[in-house]
Amino acid sequence: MKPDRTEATEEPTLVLNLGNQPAVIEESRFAVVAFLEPLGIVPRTMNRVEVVLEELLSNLIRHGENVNAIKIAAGYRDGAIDLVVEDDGAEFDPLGKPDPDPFTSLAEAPLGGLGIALVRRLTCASRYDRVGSGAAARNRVSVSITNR
Amino acid sequence: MDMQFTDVGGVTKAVLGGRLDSFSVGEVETRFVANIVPKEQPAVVDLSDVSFIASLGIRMLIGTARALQRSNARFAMFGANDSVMEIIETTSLTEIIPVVGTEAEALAVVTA
Repeated sequence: MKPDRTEATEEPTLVLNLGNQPAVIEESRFAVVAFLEPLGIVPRTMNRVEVVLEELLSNLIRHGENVNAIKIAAGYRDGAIDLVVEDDGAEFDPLGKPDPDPFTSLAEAPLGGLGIALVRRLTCASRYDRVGSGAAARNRVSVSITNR
Repeated sequence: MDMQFTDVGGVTKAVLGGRLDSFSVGEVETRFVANIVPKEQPAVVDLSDVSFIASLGIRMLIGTARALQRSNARFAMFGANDSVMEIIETTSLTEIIPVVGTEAEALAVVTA
């Protein structure tokens, strides 16, 4: 008589630990895309993932202070991609600024602030947390993108 | 990011190819602006071979169109694929820069 076996299924996850350098954007993009491709992610959603990752990381590299380590985690569950970007820099909430005011002319159009606005609009959820304390304190941005 | 510039009957045509991400924009923005704005004539941008665009690419396009507007010259784009178009629309760029399907339509818009 065979034993009753219940195999626990784990949602796939990817974790990357990278240094603060311009190549981190390209490295993480390749890794996240390679991780998601076998999971049936539709092209439109994959593009959203790439844009969100690009915006969060380029914003961090340009505006983060004393950032030495960047951790990226990706997961897929319940039809949505979860992305987490964590850094060890000074406290900084990239989601804290409001979206640019609506514009209807070239003169009014903002040249800044579009990146985080894109993150908010392309994701179904986004949040910032300051986690840990002291030397272990981290800025953490978590987003979810629906696969549709 | 590849770029080619030609003159089509007094309209500057820029053909872009590849990714307009934070890395490539830093490398091409100066040349893009320098080949369009000083000519003080209408310009169209072919996005057919652009595979990716993010906010810095959008900013480059807005800045160039705005600078050209000071010379009373119009700016339009055409040929964006679905993914690129989603980003263009999500940033409301279509509110201020015409994005059409074909080169002929873009030329008609900027010379009207």
